[in-house]
Formats: sequence, C-alpha cells, structure tokens
Amino acid sequence: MLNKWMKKTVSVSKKNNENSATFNSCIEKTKQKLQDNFGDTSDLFIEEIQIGKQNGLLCCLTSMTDRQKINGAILTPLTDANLHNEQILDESTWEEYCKEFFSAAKHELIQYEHEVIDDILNGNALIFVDKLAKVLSIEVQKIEKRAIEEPSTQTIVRGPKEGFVEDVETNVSLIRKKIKNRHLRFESHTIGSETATKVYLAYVDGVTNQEILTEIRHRLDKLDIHALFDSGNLEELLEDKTFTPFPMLYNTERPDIIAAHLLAGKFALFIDGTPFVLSAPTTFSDFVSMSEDYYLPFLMGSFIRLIRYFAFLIALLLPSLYVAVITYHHEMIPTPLLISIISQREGIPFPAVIEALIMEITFEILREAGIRMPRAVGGTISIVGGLVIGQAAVEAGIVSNIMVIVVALTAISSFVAPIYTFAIATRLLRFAFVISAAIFGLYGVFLGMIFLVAHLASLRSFSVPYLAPIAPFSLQDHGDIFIRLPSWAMKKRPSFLRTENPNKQPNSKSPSPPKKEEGGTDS
Amino acid sequence: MNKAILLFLCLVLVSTAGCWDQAELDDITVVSGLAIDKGKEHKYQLTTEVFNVTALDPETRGTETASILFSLEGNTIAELAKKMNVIATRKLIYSHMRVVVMSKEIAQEGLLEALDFFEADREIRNDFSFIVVENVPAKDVLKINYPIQQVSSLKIHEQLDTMVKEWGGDPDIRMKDFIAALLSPGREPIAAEVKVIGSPEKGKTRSNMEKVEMDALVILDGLAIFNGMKHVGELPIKHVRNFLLLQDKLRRTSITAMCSEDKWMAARITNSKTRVRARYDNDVPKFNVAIDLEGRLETIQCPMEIVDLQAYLDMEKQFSEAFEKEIEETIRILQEDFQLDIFGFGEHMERQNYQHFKEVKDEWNEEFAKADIDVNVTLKLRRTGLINDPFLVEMEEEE
Repeated sequence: MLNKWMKKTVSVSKKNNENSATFNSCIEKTKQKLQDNFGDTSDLFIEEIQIGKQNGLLCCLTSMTDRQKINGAILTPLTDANLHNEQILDESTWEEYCKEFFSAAKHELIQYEHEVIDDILNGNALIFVDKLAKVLSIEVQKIEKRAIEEPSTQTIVRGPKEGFVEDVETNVSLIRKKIKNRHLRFESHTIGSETATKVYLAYVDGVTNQEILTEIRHRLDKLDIHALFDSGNLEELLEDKTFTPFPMLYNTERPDIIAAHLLAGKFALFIDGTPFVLSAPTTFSDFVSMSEDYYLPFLMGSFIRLIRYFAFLIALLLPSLYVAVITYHHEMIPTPLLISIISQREGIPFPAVIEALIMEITFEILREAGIRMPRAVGGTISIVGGLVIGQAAVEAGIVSNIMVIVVALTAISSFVAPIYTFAIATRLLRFAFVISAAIFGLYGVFLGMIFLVAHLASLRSFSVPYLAPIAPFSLQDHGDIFIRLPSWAMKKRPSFLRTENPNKQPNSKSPSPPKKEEGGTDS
Repeated sequence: MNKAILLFLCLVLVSTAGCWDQAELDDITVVSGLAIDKGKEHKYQLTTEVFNVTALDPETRGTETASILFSLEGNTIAELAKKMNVIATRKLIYSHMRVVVMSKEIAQEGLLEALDFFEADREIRNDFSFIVVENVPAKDVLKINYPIQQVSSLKIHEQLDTMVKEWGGDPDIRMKDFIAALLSPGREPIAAEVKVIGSPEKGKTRSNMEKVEMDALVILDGLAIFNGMKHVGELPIKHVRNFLLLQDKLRRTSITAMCSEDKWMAARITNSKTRVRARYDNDVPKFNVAIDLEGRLETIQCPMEIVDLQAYLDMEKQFSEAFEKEIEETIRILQEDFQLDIFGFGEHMERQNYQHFKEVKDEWNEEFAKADIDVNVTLKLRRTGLINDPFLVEMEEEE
C-alpha cells in the first residue's frame, strides 16, 4: 500500500515562500528543506502524496517508525479521505480534515521548523500539504522494549518481583499503577543537546516539599550536557557535592521502592533508556534499608537491618582493624588467638599491610573480571579465582589463612548493601583505612573514622543532611532507621524531608482483639 | 599552589610520625611469664618463658617443647627485659605475660624495688599474678612441664584462676593489688605461694610428661605474708579461703563440718556476702564481721532426716559454727603470730572512723593485734541436691 502511494506523482507548486521558520511553501521546497536538514541519511523517507485534491508530502524516519502503524494511522485514513476528494485550501479546512480522518492516532498540528525536526527525530510521521503552514504530525513510533522482568540488582525474597525497564513510559505506568492518587504528577523535561532524552520528574503534589521541587526544577533547567544515557550521568550533574564516594541520589530498579519514596515526600527522576530511576533527597539510612524490610515481620526486618549496618562496618573496617591490631596492638588479641595467628604467619614473606593489600587488590580484580567477562567463560573465573585467592596462595605461603578469612568476610559483607553505588563507596574507602591503619594502628583507623563521619555530616542531598535523623538528631524519625517499627506505629512521614503534609496515617492503631467490656465492636 | 605544598608537608609529617612502634607478628616472640631470682654476680637473675608457637599450633606440632626459657643476670629488671636478645632471636613482647614468679630468697630480702618497672612499662599489664616460690629457685617453676598446659606460666595461671573459682584457694592477688596493699596504711601485702613437689631436675625434661605419676609438679601452697616489702611467713592453703571471704571476694567453696563423732557433712557455698563494721571502743578497735552464706547440702554421713525443718536449722547452725571457728583461727594467727593486718581491717576503719584511724595509722598493725574482732557467720542451706533423705536414713528404716 505504501508503494502504491509512493508511485503517485504530485504536481509541483511554483509558489515561493521565503519564511524559513515555517513550511508554508510548495512541496518541492519543503522536500528540499528536509533533505538539507537530514542530508542523505538512508533511513529518511520522503514521498509525495495526494491529500484530497492537494499535493502533499509524507516524511518520516523508517528506523524510528512502525510500518504497521503507518499503514493503520495514515495510509488507511488517507485512502478513505481521498474518496471524498476534498479541496484543502486554507488551514481551517485542514484542521477539520485532520480531526475527521486522523483522530484514531495521537496527532497534532505543528508549524515551526524546529518542531518538525524534533518530531521526525522522535519517530513521528509528518504530512505536509502544499502551501499550508500547519504540518500534521502523527505518532507512529516503533517501540522496542524489553518485557518487565525481575530486577537483576536488588533482588528480594518476598515482595513485588517486577522491575523497571528501559522504556520510560512503561516505568511511569508502573508507578501510576501503584499510586492511584490524582496528586501524583509527572513533569516532562528534555535533557541532552544531542540525545534529547526524555526525563520525567515525579512527585506527589501536596506532599513533596515545594522548595525542594523548585530546586530540582532549577537544576534540571540549568543542565547543559550533550548526552544522557543513564541515570548515572544525571546523578553526577545534580548532586550537591561531587567529591564524595557516597551516592547523593538514590537509584533503584524497583518500582515499589520508588513508589514508597514518592509517598514519603521525595521526588523521582525517570530517564528514558535506563531502568535505574533516581530519587532524592536521600540519606545514609536509605541505602541500608530495603523494601523487603517492610514486607517481612517487623522483628525480622529490624534484625536484618541491624545486620546490614554491621556488615557495612565490617566491609569498611575489618581489614584495617586486622592490620592495625596485628602490627601494633598485640596486647588486644587473646593469647591463644595470638599464638594461632603467629604460627599461621610464620614464614609469610610480607608485612601484614602488604598481605592485606595484595589480597584486597586480587579480590577487586576478580570481582571486576567476574562482571566484565563474557558469560561463556564464567566457569573459568570461579575456578581460577577460588584457587588463586584461596588455597593456592595459602599453600604457597604468600598469604596466611586468617588473611583469607578476613578478606572473604569483608567481600561477603560488601555485598550486603542493597544499593550497588553505596557498596562501592566502602570498596574505595577500605584501602584508605588499611593504609592509615598500617601507619598509625588503631589510632589511624579511628582518625579515619573521625574524618569519615565529619565528611558524612557535611553532605547534603537537596538541603537534607545526609546523616539525618542521626545528625541532626530527631527521635521521632528513629522508628525507621536502625530498626523498623510495625507499620501501624509509623504515623508520620520523615520530618527531615520537611513534607507539606507530615501525617501519612495519623489514625492507625495496633491490631488487637476486641476487649470484652466494649462488646467486641472496636479493636 | 600553597595548599598543595601544605598538603604535601602534612603527608610527610604523617608518614614520618607513624610506624615507630610497629612490630610484625613474625618479628616477635610472646613472653608468657617471668621468674626473678637472686643473681650470682648481679642483683637479679631474670628468666623469661616464651611461647614456642609452632609447638602450640595443632597443625605444625612436633616434638619440640612448647615454651623456651632464657636467663640473664643484671641489676635492673628493666634492662634485662630488653637485653634478652643476647639469647633470643626476636623482639620479646611482654603484653601477654601472665605470671611473675619470685623466689622466696628475693622476697625475704625485700628486693621488690624492681616492681616499679612492671607498673611503669607501657607494654606490660598490671594484672598478672604475682607469686612467691617456696622451696626452689623461681626459675625452676617455669621449667616444670605439664602435659595439658604445656606452657608452665599458663599452667600456673589457669591453676590459680580455677582454684579461685572453685574453692577459693588462691588469694587472687594481681600486681596492682599487691602495690595497692603496699601503699595502704591499713593493709599489708600478701602473695600467692607455690611449691614444687618431686624432683625439679626431672621435671625439666619431656619425659616428665610421659609419666602417669609425674616426677615433678607445681602445687599451690597458700599465702606468702609480707611486712612492707619483706616476706615474713606463710599461711597454709586452708586459710586462703578465709582470707578471700573476709575480702568479700569468695565466689564458691565447699565446707565440711562435723555432725557427730567422726561423722562429717559438707556443703557447697554458692553465694557469700561479707559486711564489716568498724568502730573504736575505749581505744580498742572493734570489728563486727557479718558473713552471710548461701549454699546447698552436698553430703552427710550421719543418718539424719533432712526433710525435717529442725534438722535443717541444726545443720545450718553446725556449719556456721564450724566456719566461724575456722575464720577466727585465721584471724587469731595473724593477730598473735604475725601481728600484721593482711585483711585490710584498717581500710574499713579508715572509711568508717577516719578521725581515729588517722591518729593510729602509722602503728596500725599494733592496733590490729589488740583489736576485738567478732565474726558472725549465718549460713542458709537452700536445697539438698536431687534427693530428699539420704540413703543412710532409708537403710536404717529397713533395719
């Protein structure tokens, strides 16, 4: 059918219109202008067509459009319309004509050149009519997307298993499905001078703090980058402070977390082309909690959360504490353990700090290789890695057994942090701590801790202190930091987010069986 | 630019300041205990016992001994401690030292001035056990091996520890207690005393450990009593428990009392509380010692119906009286034979009647000798183990 239309010849209009911003010129000129804009790219499709009695032009990028949709949304209505043989001489007739025949698909009339170019790039099909300024733009995008799957990062045992995908519209619909609230807003922004990536700013009107929203809008408008491929690009441009190993915006693949954050009074950023959605303002405790904490019984949820804090400390400090204690503070080790460590270190040629660095770097290499290597050679790395890092190194007398235990425990602990960008912060800091421990012993480790805490306390994420509510302290918010109280006990939104509406469920009560005096009516 | 220079200087400062007390584990040898004897040419002979780690690790264990001794002579312990590398290969670290053994000779001559080193040294803990050896040079105690705890110092340490917990046969005197007692006007210092039975010469060899009945053993022998820094005498081990009880430090013990002619009964004491009230009555110091004990009956050789309440009360009374006598005997020995207040009654007086104590504190030991000390033991038996009446009662009924 398309071919049939392509073969149609359309008479050439000689009328010249010099207005370069609009397209109210003859078909030949329009065609020329389009070709000037796009050059001879092979996926540009321009064909002369007949619209009613007028000559017209159909233009689109074949790589971005869906052939099926072109047939359904353009060619079929056009065939129908041509039976009427209407004269389209002015713009009001053209508008009428569009409404009558193209209302099945999403369409609009545009007139400026930049709009035309943007629409073609976004995968719309454009219909030009001879000598008319208004151009009909019809959405016939080809949408290539992955099915909704379980996220590959941040897996959980109990809870929703769906994850975000690369297509931003799908992601938005996933959130809309979870929050059926008319106050939920999605603001569209386009970022990237060359990629023109669609970014949605989501928030719940009347909950999220207005000043924070003003600030994020301001920062988004101020952005001047040429390309945006992942939320990571955006994160670095939006955060309050770049020179920190800690992530200043939360990122996740899980819609349930984003939905919870929106309802808590944070905003979210959906970026087209990546399944990682950002949310902010964020605090240290966000990275240690996980949506599953709320789906498990609260005692278990609290316990697991405490384990995560503990694992964070192990991942950060264990190798440095080990190095500090065995090179400076022998008196701190119980005698039998000291004897056992000494006998294991008998004949190890390196000082403890070098041993620790060798093992840590070996592990980092293995870890990177594990991520980067082709899936097909996956088995090799586990065999070689297991042997290199473990048994063989010990048997060859390069490292001691206890060092392998320390590194292994550290490695396992670093995988406990639910958010990858947070876990990698500890990887970097660990080396600084080990070196500090090797120079100063425990004094160095604590010096490092003091610097770290001072640094954390200085961080702000969209004006919210990173360590809130621990510093500045607010007791009211501690029901959901180190431990998690039962859902009915959490009546308020976090105060540090300074929400417009601090109450989320002010009347919730503990479920309990009816009391006898009350006649069993109310619990 | 200035900032960069400043940062660089800071880094240099940092890296030159660190590492000064660093010691890699493969450059150190851990000392388990010390023995101090009188030297032949110099004032002291110091013997250090160090761990031989390869012999202690189950994986590398061979036939070598678990500990090694080094001896040196000199005039200060402090110098000798750092001079040990005349013999040893690695740096000795003293932070894990558990016992310091001292020969009786040294103690009798009052050569304890060397002790300040143990307090002053930043590496040494002040809570190691402080022991006097009765019959052999201190060095020999560290030589005698024992198959279960092959390092002699650890063996003695554990022996003392368990003894305190189970029966109360060690005064539980650590370095810091000894020095505190030396400084206190209302107390005289004491130390645990050990002796070697059997032949110390044979005890040195590995073959000692291969015998069922060992050639030499280190046993606890009671208390060494000091007057100031001078060792003046001993108390047998049965008095140690009474000493601990008067300090309110007794944890658990077992006591035996007579129930009829050559028939005995024993009770396990699981709880004790001692209160001392001190006052002056016409220039005579008076002390009321109230001791509350709680325990259970463990054995009784008399055929007595113990489910009966009266029998219970009688037994409690018999135990209390027997224990009271024992304690009074201990106090009497100290008052009459030694005239030394090792119990710290003077400290009680200092706290409760300071004005009076102040006047007599320089001759407190004489005051103690004439003191009127009234001991009152109240024992409560709470249960009788898993039985109601002992089988002796049932046997009698059958007859």
